[in-house]
Amino acid sequence: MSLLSLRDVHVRFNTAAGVVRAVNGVSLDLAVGETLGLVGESGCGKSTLGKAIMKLVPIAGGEILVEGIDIAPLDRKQLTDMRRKVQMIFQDPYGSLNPRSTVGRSVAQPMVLAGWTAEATATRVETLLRWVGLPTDAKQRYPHEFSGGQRQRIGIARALALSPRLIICDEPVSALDVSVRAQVINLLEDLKGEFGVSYLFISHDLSVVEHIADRVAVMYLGTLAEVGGRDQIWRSPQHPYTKALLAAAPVANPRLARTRPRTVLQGELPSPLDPPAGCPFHSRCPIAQDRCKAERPTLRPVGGGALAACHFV
Amino acid sequence: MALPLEVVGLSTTLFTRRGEMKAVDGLSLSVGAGETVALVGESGCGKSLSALSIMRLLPDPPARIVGGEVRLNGRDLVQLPEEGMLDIRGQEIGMIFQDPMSSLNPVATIEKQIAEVLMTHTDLGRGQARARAHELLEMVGMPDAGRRLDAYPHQLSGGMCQRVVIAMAIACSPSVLIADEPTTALDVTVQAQVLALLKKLQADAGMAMVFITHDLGVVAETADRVVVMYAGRKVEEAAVDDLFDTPLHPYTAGRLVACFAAERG
Ligand SMILES: Nc1ncnc2c1ncn2[C@@H]1O[C@H](COP(=O)(O)OP(=O)(O)OP(=O)(O)O)[C@@H](O)[C@H]1O
Ligand SMILES: Nc1ncnc2c1ncn2[C@@H]1O[C@H](COP(=O)(O)OP(=O)(O)OP(=O)(O)O)[C@@H](O)[C@H]1O
Ligand code: SF4
Ligand SMILES: [Mg+2]
Ligand SMILES: [Mg+2]
Repeated sequence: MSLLSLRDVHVRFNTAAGVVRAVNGVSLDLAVGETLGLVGESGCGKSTLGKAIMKLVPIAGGEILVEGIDIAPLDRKQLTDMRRKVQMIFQDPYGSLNPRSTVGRSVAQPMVLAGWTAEATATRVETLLRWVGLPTDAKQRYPHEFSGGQRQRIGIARALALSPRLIICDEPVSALDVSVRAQVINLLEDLKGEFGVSYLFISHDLSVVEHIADRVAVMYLGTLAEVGGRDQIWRSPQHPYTKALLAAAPVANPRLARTRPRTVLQGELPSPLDPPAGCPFHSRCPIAQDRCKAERPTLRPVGGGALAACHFV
Repeated sequence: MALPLEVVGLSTTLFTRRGEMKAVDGLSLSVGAGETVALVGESGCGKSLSALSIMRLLPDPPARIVGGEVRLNGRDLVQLPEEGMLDIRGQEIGMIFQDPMSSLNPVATIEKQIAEVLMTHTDLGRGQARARAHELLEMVGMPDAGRRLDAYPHQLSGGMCQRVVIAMAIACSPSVLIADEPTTALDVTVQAQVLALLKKLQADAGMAMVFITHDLGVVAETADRVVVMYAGRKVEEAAVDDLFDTPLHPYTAGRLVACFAAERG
């Protein structure tokens, strides 16, 4: 049984300008102890998908199953249990922390709600802060008294508090320098090795995804373009969008960076207010044909265990 | 002629319940017209507080500038009264904040927030400001810019909020831009587009830029010089090529090794 199953999930937002189709039919499975990297252009629906799994935004269609249980009909009590199993590290670390609560209290909150003793809670808080490399005096300080990278680690400590089974990591290391980043990533990997934690790992940093993910899902305009094993995707990306995405990554070498300009996708991301008919990528795809404008491709096997949504691969 | 930005011996101290901490300790750096200086260093070393000191936007209490000068086009900002800063901020010197979502007003539309900057510093009317806001959003690669004008920050993705903050910072074509991790929430494609836009502003208008980032790929691509900070102090300064060839300070060396190891997988 999968730890997490998404079946044709849709999320819509009603806005003054119309209905935003942020997630438009996503199906995915995540196994116990697996790390699935979720990548794709800004605004393609990654955070929304994460929030839907947390039941923080309602779904307009489809099903989300955690350990085989549909999360839609859960009542408050059951939802609390679910949230113990599934946690999220939010993209906006500051906005997700209570500014009037000390960091110690914020990190302790899940344990307090779960009925831990004061002593056990205090010990746990110290362990968590140590794990993410924050000084122990961090407990008495408030979120605004920390640097960007320190705040991000507070969010990580809190998500780890009750040893969840699945952690949705939304850009968890974007504000961290290389050495702290390595420390946090090692921590996540240790937890996976020791307790079989699974991760849905959202990141724009492709080198981090390449390092941490077992499988990778590539999202475009609310839909999946390609899903497959990490090595498979990196070695032989099949979907034209995946190819474009990988080709646009920066290189950490000033001379190379000047001589080898990054290939950048032309045209802009179409609006999720009225997604194009047919293949969502057709307006920017270098190999698009007439059929692409009319018919929406579905995910199908393309070799090497990968799936891609394209008529012509 | 004076350089766009010259920081001399800037020192900022945090006066907290737990005692005093020298968050910025005698920092000096200068940035010429059209030049980019990358400010790098580990998390918590004082990069953002340096940027906020330059902008005179420190949270006071607990942080206060205790010494040094920040010369913007020859004029020392440290000595300037707050009213003087109001005219300069957003006009002569712009800043992209590290935390895009919390630097936007949650209850005002995107259009209102950009137009406000424009109407404070230029004589554009409401309609013109809206048109210019639209144009700016397109320049920073906001998809569907026209319809995003009336959106509120929570209706935008992380990367979209970051682009709004960038649009606000460059709205009045400042001669100096302080960019604090301006591309962390952007995918590689939009990141390339935004970096190209900033480079263009530098080439066309000679904008000087201080660029704070953890991403050495971005440093390699954008910076002319690199200043490395450690525990509030500048520990190294070098031309970007030299730094990548022969890093001197052990901290820099360690970082580059970690970075290249990550590149090679
Ligand atoms: N509460 C909301 N109301 C209206 N539209 C929303 C809301 N939340 C998200 N959206 C829209 O849904 C789309 C997907 O947003 P989402 O935050 O999921 O993107 P993302 O992939 O996480 O992007 P990023 O990489 O920039 O964080 C965007 O067009 C966004 O503007
Ligand atoms: N308002 C504040 N009160 C107390 N301490 C603070 C405050 N703001 C920052 N600090 C501390 O000052 C130090 C420098 O913070 P700063 O935000 O400048 O770091 P940074 O180099 O920008 O780090 P990052 O890369 O994580 O953003 C950190 O140790 C931080 O905890
Ligand atoms: S279906 Fe057509 S438009 Fe879509 S990715 Fe494939 S070739 Fe391109
Ligand atoms: Mg997001
Ligand atoms: Mg900072």
